[in-house]
Amino acid sequence: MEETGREAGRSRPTRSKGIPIRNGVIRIAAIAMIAAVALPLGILAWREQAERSRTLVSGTLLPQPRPVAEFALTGDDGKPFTRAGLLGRWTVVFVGYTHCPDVCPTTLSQLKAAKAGLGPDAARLAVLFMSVDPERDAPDHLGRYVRYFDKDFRAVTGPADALTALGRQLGFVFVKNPAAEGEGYGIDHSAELILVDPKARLAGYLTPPFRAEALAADFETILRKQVAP
Amino acid sequence: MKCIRILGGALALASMPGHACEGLEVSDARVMESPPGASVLAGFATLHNSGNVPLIIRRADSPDFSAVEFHSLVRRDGLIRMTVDSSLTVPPHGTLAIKSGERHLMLFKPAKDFREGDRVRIRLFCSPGTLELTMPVEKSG
Ligand SMILES: [Cu+2]
Repeated sequence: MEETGREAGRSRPTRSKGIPIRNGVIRIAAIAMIAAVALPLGILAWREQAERSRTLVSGTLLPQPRPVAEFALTGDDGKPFTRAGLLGRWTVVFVGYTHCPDVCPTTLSQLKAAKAGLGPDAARLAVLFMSVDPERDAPDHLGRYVRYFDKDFRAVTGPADALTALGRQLGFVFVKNPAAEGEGYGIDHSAELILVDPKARLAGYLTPPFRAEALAADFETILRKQVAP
Repeated sequence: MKCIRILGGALALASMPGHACEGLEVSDARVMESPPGASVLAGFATLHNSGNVPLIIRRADSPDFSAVEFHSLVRRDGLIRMTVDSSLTVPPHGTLAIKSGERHLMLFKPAKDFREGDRVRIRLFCSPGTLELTMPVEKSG
């Protein structure tokens, strides 16, 4: 085809030479114009739609994200964990304790599977296990516990009153239940996953029962979201 | 060698001879592998009663754990709670599923960090008789 075209161009008189070129320029200009207008419009429309959608497969997003005030807890590295620890990435907070042999490991396994499905985007999502059992869950124990599931998972705990106060902000509760275990106590706790946006604002909740595929889809949705200042 | 190993695997879940929990059949018995240092593990199984009367399991114990309890999970007002059941009842010609999200055998203070492929021994006390189970440890998910 190329050979023929070049051949034809060379053999033809000047009259026909200019026309295909001008046609081509017009066509390119037209495509460029359409692209210049339509592409950003399309992106805007798509973005707007993504912004508007409050419904996730396994939960909901708040109409307006709620800023989280300063708090003081301890990370699994033994260092202070404050509001700054929530900045810069989406954070999925899971409230539990390590003396919970079914729900907590199951949820952490599902979170691991969901996060693995995100590919490189997984780096933009933090998973934070919040132990509401500071009596038994020392920071180093928590670190070993969560990293058994995923090396990037982090854990945090702190004094019961600090946890209670943060619970009021993030919408989780926990109640010590002495009768639950013959050999100790249980802790009744919220089972929702709490979504915190990269500006450290409460953004929404995911509610059980969880499925790894649904969680992965929801994580993709929130990572696509434009986070307004 | 190969035959013996296969036979060993197949027999692992069978009851010990000479003991009786008349009519009780156990399948899908397994213990979830847990992070190193975990102080409690969860055991799951499906219990079937082939008899004509309800089968009651009064308690359980294990040489591999300090204690074994029957736990249920209750969800109420957005909270999840573990509660202790004093006994398990398998209905006549029926099944009781001890399954994740609903019930578990709460296994306290493991004698060591059990890993996938290990086996733990659990003894169920029926009325009358006992049933000894060997439950494989499996990774969750
Ligand atoms: Cu339990």
